[in-house]
Amino acid sequence: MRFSSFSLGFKKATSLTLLLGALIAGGYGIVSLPFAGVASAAEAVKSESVGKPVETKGEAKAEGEKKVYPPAPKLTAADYPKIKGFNSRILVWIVAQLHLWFAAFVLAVPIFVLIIEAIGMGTKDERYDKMAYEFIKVSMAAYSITAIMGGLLTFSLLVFYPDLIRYMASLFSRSMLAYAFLFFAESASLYIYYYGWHWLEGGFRKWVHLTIGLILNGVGTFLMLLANSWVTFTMSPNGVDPATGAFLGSEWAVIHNFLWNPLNLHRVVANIAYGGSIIGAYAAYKFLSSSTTEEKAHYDWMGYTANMIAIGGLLPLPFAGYWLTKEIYGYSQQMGITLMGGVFAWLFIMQAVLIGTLFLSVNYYLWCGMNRSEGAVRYTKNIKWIAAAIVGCFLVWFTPHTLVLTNQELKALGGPYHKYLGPLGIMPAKNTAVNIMIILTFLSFTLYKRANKIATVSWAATGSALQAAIFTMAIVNIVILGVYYGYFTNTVYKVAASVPQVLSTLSVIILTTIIDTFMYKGAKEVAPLHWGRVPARSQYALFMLAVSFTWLMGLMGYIRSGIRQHWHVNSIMRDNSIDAFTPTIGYAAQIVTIAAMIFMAIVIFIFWLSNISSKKAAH
Amino acid sequence: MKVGYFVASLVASVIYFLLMDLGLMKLQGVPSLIYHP
Repeated sequence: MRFSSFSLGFKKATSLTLLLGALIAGGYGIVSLPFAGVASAAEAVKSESVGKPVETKGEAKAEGEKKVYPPAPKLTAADYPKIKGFNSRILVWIVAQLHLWFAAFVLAVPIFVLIIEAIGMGTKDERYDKMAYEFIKVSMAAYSITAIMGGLLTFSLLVFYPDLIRYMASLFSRSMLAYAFLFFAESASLYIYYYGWHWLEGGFRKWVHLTIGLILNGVGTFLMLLANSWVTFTMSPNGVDPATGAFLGSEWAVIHNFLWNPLNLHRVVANIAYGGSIIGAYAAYKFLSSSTTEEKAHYDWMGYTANMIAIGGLLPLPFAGYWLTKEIYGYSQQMGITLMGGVFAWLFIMQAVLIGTLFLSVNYYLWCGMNRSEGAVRYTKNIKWIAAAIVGCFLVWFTPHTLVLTNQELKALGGPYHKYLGPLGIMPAKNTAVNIMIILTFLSFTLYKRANKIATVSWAATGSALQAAIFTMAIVNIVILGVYYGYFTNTVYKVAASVPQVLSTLSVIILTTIIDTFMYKGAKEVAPLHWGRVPARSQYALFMLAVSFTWLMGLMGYIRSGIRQHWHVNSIMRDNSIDAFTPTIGYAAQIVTIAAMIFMAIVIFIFWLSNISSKKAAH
Repeated sequence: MKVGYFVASLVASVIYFLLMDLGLMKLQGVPSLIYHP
């Protein structure tokens, strides 16, 4: 907390809240959003026994005797405490989501702050150091709020879902304790990293500072991995008796469950993209409220860097998402079908619209950014074609397969699928569209990068020709793979073809970047880059990016949690609360929207705090 | 950008992507690039 109005005492209080919260926090998403089913009261296992090993015959255990753990509790509606005026599910849902948004932000920011700081050290350009410091400054207030939300979530879970939490704590006892202690390490390293920024400047001291940043990131990532294991355990439980849910004795087996690593990868990549987008919104806010040219130039550059970070996370994100989804199908076909072919399928259409919005926002920002240099005139005529192609892909990307139709509409259409648009509703079309969208976004980025430069190497014409050929053939290859294998072969070919599609996209990114790096070494500047010379509307694209990301994470988080349906822990511990039903899509979207609005209001508050903290007193 | 360079690069890219497709499909146990029902 860098604000002068925040006392050290508050920091200590925050740490205590963190400790309490951390004892069980991170169990977000473990309350299912399902339909009711009432277990027999006679079957109910008394919650008092949960978590305590059952002593073997004769009470006194012989040394080396194997512990026998109790089964997962079977609850009735009466086992869920009720407090007048509170809906337990909505409260836990919103608080868990808020905690997750802030946690994603505060985990991501130190990652790229460390990288930017290292770049500043390597290039000896103080602007990088200044920007990195400003990034971490914004995340400090968010860190406190993450802790507060973590505490609130813990207490909410303890109050409303005590048996579930007790069961989870009995399985994850060591990792939960480790989580609590690691939070101390996280707080300590974060405070030293932030408050010691100027103290540890120059020479060896800077190395010490970078090392502290590295420790901060290591601890932060480790914390996230632990919390992820609690969440994924509820989806793909492991290390427990599949029939009863009784712990089998290995906590590592419980942690290392089937979906743990796919979720870990997905969250790390998504957090970076998300962190970039929120910082981008901060830079846009500062840009729009700046009055001097210098300030505008600084925040324009900051917004551009944040946008680059968001793009860096956004481009590989669909692939991480595909892997996670593939593994969900691999673990349970039923869960996979519920996810994308059942009740949640229409939420994926909303997801597609939001992802399309992200791509359009990112591209729009890059195109507006070309205003910074007169040299970009050479490329601006191509933008309309890129825009048209991206919009075309966007339309394919969110075309639904099964429509919600009345009988009359069905008759008029001649069936449930549209004659021409129906085929665009299946995965091969989506895969093709998203890969091309990524390639075109990368093309926008490539054009932006060379806007104010001209290559001077002798082989520049050959290099450009090779780059153009790679872009062209990659798109042709992706279309052939999508159309031929997607519509004229069987499922084996269809699924297998998605892998070379992804590799085609990655080939474009890697190969053209390598060529670009060598080709533009010692390049001549055709016109200077004027930071700050961008239209105000470009900054609204940055706001749109942050809002779309937030809403998207909320909706997809709901799906991830909701696919467990009527289980707290999939197939192990049934949810028998009165709220154990799957809400309608509209209802779920409203809850997520309310949560997103609360989050955005707090984020604006953080931006405002950051603003007043840098203002000097008038007297 | 000269047309000759571009055509040569296109040919090179076709070979690259074809080999990549072949390799990746084989790795996944797909018998050939052409589907035989």
